[in-house]
Amino acid sequence: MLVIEGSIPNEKINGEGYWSSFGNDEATGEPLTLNWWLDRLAPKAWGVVAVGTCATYGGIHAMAGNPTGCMGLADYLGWDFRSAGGLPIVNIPGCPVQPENFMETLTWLLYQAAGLAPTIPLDEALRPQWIFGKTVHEGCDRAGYYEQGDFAKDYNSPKCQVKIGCWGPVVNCNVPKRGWMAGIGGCPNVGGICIGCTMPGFPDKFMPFMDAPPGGGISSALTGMYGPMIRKLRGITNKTMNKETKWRHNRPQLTTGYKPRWGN
Amino acid sequence: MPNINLGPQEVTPDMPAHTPGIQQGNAKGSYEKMQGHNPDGTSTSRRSTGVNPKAQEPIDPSMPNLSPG
Amino acid sequence: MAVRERIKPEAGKLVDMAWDPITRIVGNLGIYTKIDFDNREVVSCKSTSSLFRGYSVFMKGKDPRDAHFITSRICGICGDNHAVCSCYAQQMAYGVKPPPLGEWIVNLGEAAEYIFDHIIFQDNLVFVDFCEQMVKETNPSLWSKAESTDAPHAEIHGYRTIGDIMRSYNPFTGETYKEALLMSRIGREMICLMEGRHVHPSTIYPGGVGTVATPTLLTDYLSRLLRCLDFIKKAVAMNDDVFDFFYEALPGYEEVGRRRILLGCWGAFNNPLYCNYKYTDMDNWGNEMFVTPGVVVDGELVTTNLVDINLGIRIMLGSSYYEDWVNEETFVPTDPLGNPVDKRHPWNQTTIPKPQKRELEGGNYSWVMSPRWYDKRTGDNLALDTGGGALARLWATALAGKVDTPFVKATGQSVLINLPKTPNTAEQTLEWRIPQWSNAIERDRARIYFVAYSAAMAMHFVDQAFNEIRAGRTKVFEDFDVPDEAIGCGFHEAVRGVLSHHLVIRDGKIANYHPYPPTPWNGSPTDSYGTPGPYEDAVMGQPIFEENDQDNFRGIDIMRAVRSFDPCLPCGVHMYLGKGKTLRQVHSPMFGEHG
Ligand code: SF4
Repeated sequence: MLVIEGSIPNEKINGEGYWSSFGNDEATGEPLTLNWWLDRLAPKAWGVVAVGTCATYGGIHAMAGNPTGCMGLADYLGWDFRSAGGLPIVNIPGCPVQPENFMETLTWLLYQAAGLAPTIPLDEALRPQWIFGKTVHEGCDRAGYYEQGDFAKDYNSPKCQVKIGCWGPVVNCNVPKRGWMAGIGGCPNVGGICIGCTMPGFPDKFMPFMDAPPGGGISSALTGMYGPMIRKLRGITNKTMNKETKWRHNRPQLTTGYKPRWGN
Repeated sequence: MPNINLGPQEVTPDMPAHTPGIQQGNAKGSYEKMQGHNPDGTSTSRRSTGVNPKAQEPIDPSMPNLSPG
Repeated sequence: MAVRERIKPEAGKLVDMAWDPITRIVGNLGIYTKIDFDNREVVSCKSTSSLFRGYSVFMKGKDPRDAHFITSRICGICGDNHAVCSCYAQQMAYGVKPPPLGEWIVNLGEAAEYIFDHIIFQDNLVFVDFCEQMVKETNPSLWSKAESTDAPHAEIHGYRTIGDIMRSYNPFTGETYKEALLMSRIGREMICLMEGRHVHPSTIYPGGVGTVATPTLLTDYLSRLLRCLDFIKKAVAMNDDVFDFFYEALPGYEEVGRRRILLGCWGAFNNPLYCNYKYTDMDNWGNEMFVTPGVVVDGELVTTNLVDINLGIRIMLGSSYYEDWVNEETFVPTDPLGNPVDKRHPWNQTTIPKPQKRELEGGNYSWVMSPRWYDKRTGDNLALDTGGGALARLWATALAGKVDTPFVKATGQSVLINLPKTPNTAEQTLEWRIPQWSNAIERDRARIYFVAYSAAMAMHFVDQAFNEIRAGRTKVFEDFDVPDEAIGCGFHEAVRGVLSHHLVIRDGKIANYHPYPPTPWNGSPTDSYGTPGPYEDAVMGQPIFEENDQDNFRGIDIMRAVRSFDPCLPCGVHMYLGKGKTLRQVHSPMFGEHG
């Protein structure tokens, strides 16, 4: 099993130099590039796993204006690459990867390698389906505010952050649901805008991170219209629900409706 | 960049920069526009809820106003 | 330079040894040494980094508000230090000061980062160097002595002999090793409470934080902190016992990793009562930080003024794969106080990579540049090191004698740390005293004392944050607008030492951005004046105490020297023993731990 972390620089563009290396060539004493190792190791591995958004899709180092020509593993080996075990590359994106997502995926692969689990289900971006198959927004505990059209205008607010940079409605990730470790922390659920760090389009398509995402305007404008009415209606019901039932009292007679026997 | 092979640019380095006119999450004046956030840095229950906020206020003026996170 | 003269190429039996480990952090660091086995001494050392990613190149033209999100990704262990430092620089550029509660939350997150990271490093890499298995293998006679030496602090940590402590350090099986892993996990949970995520925070912004401050947040943090304190009290005592034993049992061991006392600390934990992020007031609020910034040369505190520290920074080439920038644009000719800013200062640096072959002999061999600090008293460009972070922080803070809180007090010669009573242990007052040397043992010792320092400071920050919250002051973020033209600088301490971010904004976009983390300082190659970097001169000339002969050599003394700096190299170690003989050593810290 070959596990790759970090983006893959383009070593075709830099002449005799190198961007990233790992050990030395015994004959020349010059460094051996990461690419040299990949070319040799990837085809022999039973499974190839890319961990983190750098390794999966290129990530931060692949942003516009970068000098190294960085890319993801699938860009380097080819999206139709198959390992010796017949598997596509398994991508576990996240910048950084949520540690439990990583361990869990690796465990599946180890079970699979031992013949104890079926082929790991991957989506078209080669991510484990059960982890990345829904959006941040769908798992966000601030979505109730969104629905009621109640939005944060700056970072002081515990409400929905869609107008101050949250991309949760269109990003595939489970972090607000799972937390960052042992259920603690996360992103929009604890006050950090979702910057789309698990996505192939990260980072350029989400920058500048602290600007309102363009698409959020329309849907949040709609909830902004009916939200206040919903809040009002819920306010009425909430008031009722905050009152105890009337037969709880310390008067000398029982009014709970108690009868010794059911019927008659 | 002398010894890096450059091809035609597919993007300019400042493509992801700010576009004038787009609302910024840090823009001055946003704090004042938020219901439930007081000018002195304290807040009311409206900070955290849109459903019956009044009923969630602390009942005594000696109590700090600590709406949930 | 004096240190270079120690190279004796003609000496008897020279053996090339190289450690070229891999890591995704700051660089793939490789240490290439030549050892004279007849004289049991290291005669030459080169530190190389074989990784370039180009942050200062691709950040140009981007929105400056993205800088902390981007620079956090520089490091897979201390990314939050970068994010925070970048916010400091941005806050200066935007002229915004976060509300006090926002500042306390950042301090709480950073204190947890020091606790977590120092513990995991001490545990996974340093303890392993001093554990039973290692010592048995490299110095059998020392091991038998350890087994028969009583541990002076047995009543605190519960281990009767030094040998018992070393046994508890054994990887995967030792008690201390396992407990430290758990503590570092708790430390990361504390970071996640304050900063959302570890290692790239989600809730840290220029202007403050998005963390929603409630009593619940602080309670969750405090309960974890108290658990860590139980462990820390024992750990300090154990470390002292083992390190003192080494000095006693191996006379001359103070020479391992020893170099001239040239320490830099850029200060940590801003005090919101004083810090307004204005450059013109930086001397004032820098001196109010809860870890005092300072440059210590030969035991003397040269300055604690962040303006002096800032203006003294020089980035040298000499052995690195870059074009020089002497003919490029000067972005900041003078600072806001009117002082001239040097062409070799990060504000005026233009990074143009020039990939090329590696030439270890007389050519360029590293992607790391050589940061130096200009000492205006002598005109020297000093190769400051960070002492692995903790040593420089404690040293500068102790000498400055400014920090004075209920939990931590600097005295001028030492730092007093009061640890309160916790569930399983009594109250304890620790004193870290300024040591005689800047060497491997003292770097390692300082690390665990700084864990205690951070934990004690965190107690103070919890109190302060509670005061704000209980008064109902819940504001954690201050709004700001981005100016068209501005400059900023941020000074902070990454876990393993000095961290600075320098930012120039034009047309509302980043025109120049240069982060300088600790490893370029410590791991820098020889500069254009011929001054070697700190790893290089610390290892050069150091004696070898290992009992093994050339064929069974493990290089433990060299590893202890290099590791004492806390280089970001947690993964694998390759050793080439000359003549085609290869030895491979792998230390594998759990991936999840560094997530
Ligand atoms: S904060 Fe983001 S993810 Fe959460 S509800 Fe709002 S838009 Fe959705």
